[in-house]
Amino acid sequence: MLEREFNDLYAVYSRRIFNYILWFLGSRHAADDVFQTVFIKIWNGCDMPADPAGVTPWLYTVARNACLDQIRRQKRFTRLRADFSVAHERRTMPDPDDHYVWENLSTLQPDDRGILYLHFKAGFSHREIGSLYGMTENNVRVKTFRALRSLRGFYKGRP
Amino acid sequence: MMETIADTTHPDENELVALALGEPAQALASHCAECPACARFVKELRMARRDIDAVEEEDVPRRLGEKVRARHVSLMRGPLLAFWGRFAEWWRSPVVIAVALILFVLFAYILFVFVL
Repeated sequence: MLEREFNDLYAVYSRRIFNYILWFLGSRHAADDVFQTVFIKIWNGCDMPADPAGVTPWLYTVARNACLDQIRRQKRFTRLRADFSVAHERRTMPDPDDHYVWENLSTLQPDDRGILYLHFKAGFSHREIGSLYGMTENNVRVKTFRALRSLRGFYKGRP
Repeated sequence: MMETIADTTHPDENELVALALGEPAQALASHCAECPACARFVKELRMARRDIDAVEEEDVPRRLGEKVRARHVSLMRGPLLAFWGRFAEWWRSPVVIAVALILFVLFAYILFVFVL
């Protein structure tokens, strides 16, 4: 990949990829590390699709795989330091102004948060997310609905 | 308020989610107008959706962007210049700048008082 290509990719996608990672992991601290890893992988990546239409899904796939790796590493680590991890994650949640929303979102599976981000924030259709996640369109739809139903529980009794 | 809407007289929950997400469903909308449980269900889903929409997307922190670019440059240049890239990044740290300033003032003081 040429430097110019990398810079173009970074300029266009860095913000979206950063937010996707932030939603997926729900932790700013972890997102910083994974974001760096993702862009190094992108720079090294020889499997970047030649078709421009395939670049966006490829980038999100690289980001998702890096997030899943991070979660696997975290799981090994937090077995030893579970209590610390919970407190630490609370401190490093994204925007404190949206604190309660992030607390609600943190109850979802990381992959489900990723789907919510892609659908509601990045504007991906269920079909597009399905091709990215290797799921059927209906599966993604069900997951989106289930996540939303799960979040609904936090709004019971509110005016 | 029931936990789930399982009663056969109520529509399927997924249909209500679809309604809450703005998918057209005239019959469901009419049902919700007459059924407080379903109306409440849809309202709570819409509150969740509204909060998701309200979460602002964040810019990549400037320092993180600089780190990525520095690592990228170092990968392009090879190991020798990579070291310089890391050094340049380290050197820009506010703590290092503060320590350097303190050392400079201390050195100037010693030079002025004891040597000159």
